[in-house]
This record gives sequence, structure tokens and C-alpha cells, in this order.
Amino acid sequence: MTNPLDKQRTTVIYGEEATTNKILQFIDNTDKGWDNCIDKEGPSVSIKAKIIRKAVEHAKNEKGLRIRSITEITRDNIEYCKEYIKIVTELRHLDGIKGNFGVSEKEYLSTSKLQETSLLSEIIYSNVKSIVDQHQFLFETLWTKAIPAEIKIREIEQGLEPVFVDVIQNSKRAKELYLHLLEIATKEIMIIFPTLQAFIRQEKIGVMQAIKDAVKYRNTKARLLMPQKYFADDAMWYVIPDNERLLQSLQQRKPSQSTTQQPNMQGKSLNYKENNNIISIDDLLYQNIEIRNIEPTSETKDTTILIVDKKLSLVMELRDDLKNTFEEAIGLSTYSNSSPGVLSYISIFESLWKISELYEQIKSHDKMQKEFINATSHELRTPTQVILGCSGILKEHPERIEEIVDLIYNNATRLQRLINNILDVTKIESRLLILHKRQFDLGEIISSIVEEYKKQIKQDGRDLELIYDQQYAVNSNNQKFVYADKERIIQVISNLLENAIKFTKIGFISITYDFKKYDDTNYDGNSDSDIIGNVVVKIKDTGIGINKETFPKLFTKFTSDSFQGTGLGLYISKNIIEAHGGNIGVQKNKENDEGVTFYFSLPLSKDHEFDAKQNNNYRENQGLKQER
Amino acid sequence: MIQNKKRVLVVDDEKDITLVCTMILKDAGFEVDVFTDPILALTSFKPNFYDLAILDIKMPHMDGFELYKKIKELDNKVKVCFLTASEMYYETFRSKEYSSIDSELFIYKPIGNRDLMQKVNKIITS
Repeated sequence: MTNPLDKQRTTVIYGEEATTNKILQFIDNTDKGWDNCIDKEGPSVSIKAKIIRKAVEHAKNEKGLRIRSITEITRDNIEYCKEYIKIVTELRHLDGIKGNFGVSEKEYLSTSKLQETSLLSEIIYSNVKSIVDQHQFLFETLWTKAIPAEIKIREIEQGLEPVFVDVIQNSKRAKELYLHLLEIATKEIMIIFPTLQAFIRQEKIGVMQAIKDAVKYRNTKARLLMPQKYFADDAMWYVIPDNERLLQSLQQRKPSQSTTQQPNMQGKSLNYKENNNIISIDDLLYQNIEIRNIEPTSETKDTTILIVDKKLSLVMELRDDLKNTFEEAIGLSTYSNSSPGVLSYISIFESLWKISELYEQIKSHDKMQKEFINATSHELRTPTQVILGCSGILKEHPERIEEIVDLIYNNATRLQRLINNILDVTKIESRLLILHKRQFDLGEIISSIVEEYKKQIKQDGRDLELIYDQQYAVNSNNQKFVYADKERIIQVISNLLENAIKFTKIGFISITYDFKKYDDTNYDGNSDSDIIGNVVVKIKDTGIGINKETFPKLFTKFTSDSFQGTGLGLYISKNIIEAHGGNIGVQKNKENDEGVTFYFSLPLSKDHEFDAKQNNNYRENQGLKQER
Repeated sequence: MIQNKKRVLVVDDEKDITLVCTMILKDAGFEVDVFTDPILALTSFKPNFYDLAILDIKMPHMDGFELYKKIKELDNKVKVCFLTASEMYYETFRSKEYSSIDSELFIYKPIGNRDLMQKVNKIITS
């Protein structure tokens, strides 16, 4: 090896051993010290490379050399920087340092990228005076621009990063920044997409993947606002198949005769037909990515707005929505951490978010009203038609009253029932359903309801058996009394029984009830409550069962498998039972595929147990007449 | 003008509607057959027998429009009208496949007996 001082030269050195030796030599050669400028990996590499670290410490502490260093201090490397600052004489921070070089009064070293796992495999060495001088100048320039590491560290630790507003002219840089911001998001990502095309372009550069990763691996939440007018479009589904709402919108959609391809996409990524509607829902994504729709407004139609962790904003101007690639479509972007700026974007986002919620509500309200009109109009028109027709005939032929009166009576009753149902729903929805509770014999009311329906079945001449037997009704303590709104419970039982009769052509319907007391262990766990048990009433039929589509929404309004009726009965029943603190539900019968069992429970409270026992004894002789 | 009695077929899944229609139509001098099951109505349909078929629209198993199509296949001379109580069902379907059906052929429940007969006579003689 030639002595570098003898001859000026520039050379590349390969291999870990050779590069390490060169660095050690560089440290050894200087009499004054050196300056270096290292990227954000630099501090951790310097700390972990023990031989070099030792040499540096020796140079500083034993030889009293001056070592100045510039690096980029970030949230990720801050701990290394705090240690590194002790090794060097002075450390400063500068944003965006890439590449690494060191320069002493006589030598220069550089390498492109530092990696924590391996030592340097390749460095450039020079002792050419002009190169050394050049890098000394360069370093001094950077040094004056850099800020003391202590300040930066404090800022990061206190969350007070200096305010900046960067205007980014290069859309490629905007793209990198966009993805980078999604990568560093740890709390929340908010995005407003101006158009569907913008969304598709952004999806292509990996935005959605980055969001999914943020949600999956860093437990970030994401809220996205999309232009509503495209929502119903076939193209939407492939976009984020993991979203339930999209899924719903797809399921509602008929198999497409889709001619609605987006004009400028040339069908490239819109191969939605092949993928069809089979979509898996990832639970995590489903919970943490929420998408809503907005009508594009003048505020939103020209920009994509990204807000990360409520601290950083990136606003990208949409220059030309007809372009295919992100880079071509984006104009200027501004990137900022200024809190007034970010807060105003947050407030835009939040108000649009709120609006979209209201919009959804209005839509569902609208749908509900239509359903209401649809369901009730049939139930109003049909019996009214019969009554009108019958009374018309009676006017002409009063003598036919015997033949006609039942028809009028039955249909008037049907109208009455509709009116009551509508009133009940109104009461439920305005929270005016008031219960008039009292003690009554459950067994007795079931008995009388069953008798009533037995008559009706007989009249209709149907091959249907109603089974209700005090013996068959399992009853542990021979208890029959409940404390509830008698009329309402009658309404529920009648409704369930009527449904069972309606959907069971032949076979049987059985009613049972069972009083259960919670055992002591259960009771202990819930000592605040005075609920000591419950009574469960079951109505089992051998009918046609319940439609798959109807099943999940069975207890909601306007849901019916029947062509007659309003679909309000079960909704009302559910609300009545829940107002009592009980539960209502349905199960498919196990033994065979036929039929279902509806059940409801009512809680039994401690306060009324004693009354009930007394009542049981009293009733032996007197029958039921207690009112409370 | 006076030939044999006109024959009318009424299909409605509401039994009471078929009863009251029967009374009104018989009172007006028609012969009436009624069905509450549209499938049974179709399987028992006699071509070139009826002058008019009055169909409900929203029925289980087969709706009035489908029944209309099938009946027309069996007998293209029979006049058909719809007596309906369902708002939306009618609108959704009519706006799509059945927009060709003359709106005169839709009769809305409830309708008074005299108005009903007026419409029925008009359709039969049209």
C-alpha cells in the first residue's frame, strides 16, 4: 500500500474488512478531527459497529479531536441519536439527509447507503485536495442550515415539530410523500377523494394497500369519503371489497349488464365482472376502514385531501381528471404540519363526514317511508275494498245482510288491527309505549288465547292441532303468575300464535312455558339486580319455516314472508318484550327441518315473588282477580 | 247485443276480495269463476271461454303480470285487467317490463261497485 500522503488519489474500497480498516485509518490519520454527514440510519450503525465506535470515542476523549455530525433525527431513530450525541462532539439535525460522507482536514470518505445489519461493503476514499476542500465547503453549508440535535430531539419528544408548509410541484414526489405518510400513520387516516377516477388512480399506486397495511399492522383507523354519484356504479365494488357497505350495495345490485365502464380507464382495472360478487370480509378491515359517500362539492371536487394522525396534511390538486396515471393527473400539492392548516382540513373532513351521515339517514328514512306506504296501502286498500263492495251490495239488496255481515265485520277488524299496529309503532318510535304492569296468571291467559284460536281453526276447517296443556307446559314451582302488562303480553302471544297458524298448513302448534329461577351462583354475580329468574314461553310449529332472506331482519319493521299483513307484528312484539326487560327470538326446530320455535322471556323480580306465591295459594280457592 | 252471459275470471289471493267481486259481478249479470291461487287459476284456465280476467298483481307463487303473460299465451283474445292494492310493486314492475300495458287496465282498490262495473264494461266492450 502506498502512503496516501505521498500521492493524491481517489479510489473505491470493497469488502467489510477493507472498508472498516479504511475508516479506522481515516480516524487515525487526522490531527484535528472530522465532520460527517450521515443519513437517518447512520446513528444506529455508528453505535452498533463496536470497533469503529471505540476508535471514535478514543479520538474524541483521548486525543481531544473535534467530531461534528449532521443527521436526520426522526421519531424512529431518536433513541440512537440520543446515544450518538454522546460519542460525537456536536450533532445537528437536517431534514432529508441522503447518503453519507466524512471529511477531515486531509481525507474524504463516502458511501451511498448505510445498513444496520451489515458493515460497509463499499466506500469511496479520496485524499485529493480539491475533493476534500469541496466537501469541507459542502459540510459547512449544511452545518449552518442544520439545527442543534438537542432542539430537534426536544421537539420530537414534546410533539412540537417545527411548522412547515411545503409546496410540492413534482407529482412524483407527491406520490412518494402520499405513500410515505400512509406508512407512518399510526392513529388515523382521513382521505377525501374528489372523483372516482382519482380514487382508481390512487388505488393503482398502492394507496388502498397502504391503508390496509396501516389498519392491519399498526391498528390505524381509516375514514374515507367518496363521491356519492359513483357509488352505485358497478366499478365501485372492486375498489375495497372488504367494506360491508359496498358489499351490501353489491348484493342489492342485480347481476350487471354493465355498460357503465368509466370512459378514461379503457377497462384496464375495471375487470369487475370476472371477480363477481364473492367477497370476503376481513373483520379487522371491516371494523377499521369506514367509507362514506358524499356528493362532490366545489370544496372537494378538485383536490384529494389526506390527513394523517390529525397532524399532517397533504392536499393534492387535481389538474386533469381524464389522465390515466396519478403523476399525470396531479398538479401542485401542499404538505404541511401547520396546526391551523391541518385543523381546517380536519374540520372540512368532519363536516362532510357528518353530512354524509345525515345523507344516509335521509336515504334510509326515505326508504322506510316507501316501505311503510307500500305495506300499509295493501292492508288499507284490501279490507276497505271488501267493506265498500259489501255495503254497496247491501244498499241494493238489504235482504242479503246475513250473507254479508261477517265479511264486513272481519274486514273492519282487519282495518282496526292495522290502525292499532300503526299506533303501536308510533308509540314505540316516540318512546311512548307505557306498560301497565300487574300480576296475572300466565297459564290462564294462554289457555284463553288458545281456545279462541282453536275455534277459528275449526271454523276454517283446517287440519291443524293446537296443543296446550297445563301438564305439557313445564312448570317447576307450579308457578303461573307474572308481573307484566297483561294486554300487551296477550298481544304478543296472539301475534306469535297467529303467525304460526298462518305459516303452518298442517301439523301442530304447541305452546309451553317454563318458570326458571337462577341458581345461587348466578344470582350472586348480579347482586344489584332484583331479577331472580325468568319465564320462557315457547311457541313451536311444524310450518314452512322462515325465508333465508327474511330471517336476519325478522324483527324489524315491514318484514314479512306473507303477502298479507304489514310486517309490523314481530317488530311490535319485540319492543313490547324488550320494554319488559325480556328477550324474544326464534330457532329452527332441531328434530326435523320443518318449522320454527318462537320464544320470549320475561324477567321475574324478587319484589313480586312473594306476591306471586301468595297469589298461587289464594288462587287455589278464589281464582284470579288481583289488580295492582 | 244480448248474447250469452259474459264470463269473468277473478284471481286474487285475498279470499274476501274474490267473494265480494263475485257478488258484484253476478249482480251485474256476469258468470264468475274465482281463484285464490294463481297457479291453480292457470292450470284450470279454459281458453276461449272467458271474456275478461281480473287479476290481482301481488300474489304468492306467481304474480299478476306473469299470470297475464301465461294466460295470453293460452288465449290471446281474452281481455285482462288488473285490480291491485299494492303501490310499489305495481310501479316497479310496470315501469320496467310492463310499461306496454295500457294504464286504463289498472284498477285500484278500493273502488266503488258502480265505478268498478263501469270500468269492467268499458274494458270488455273495447
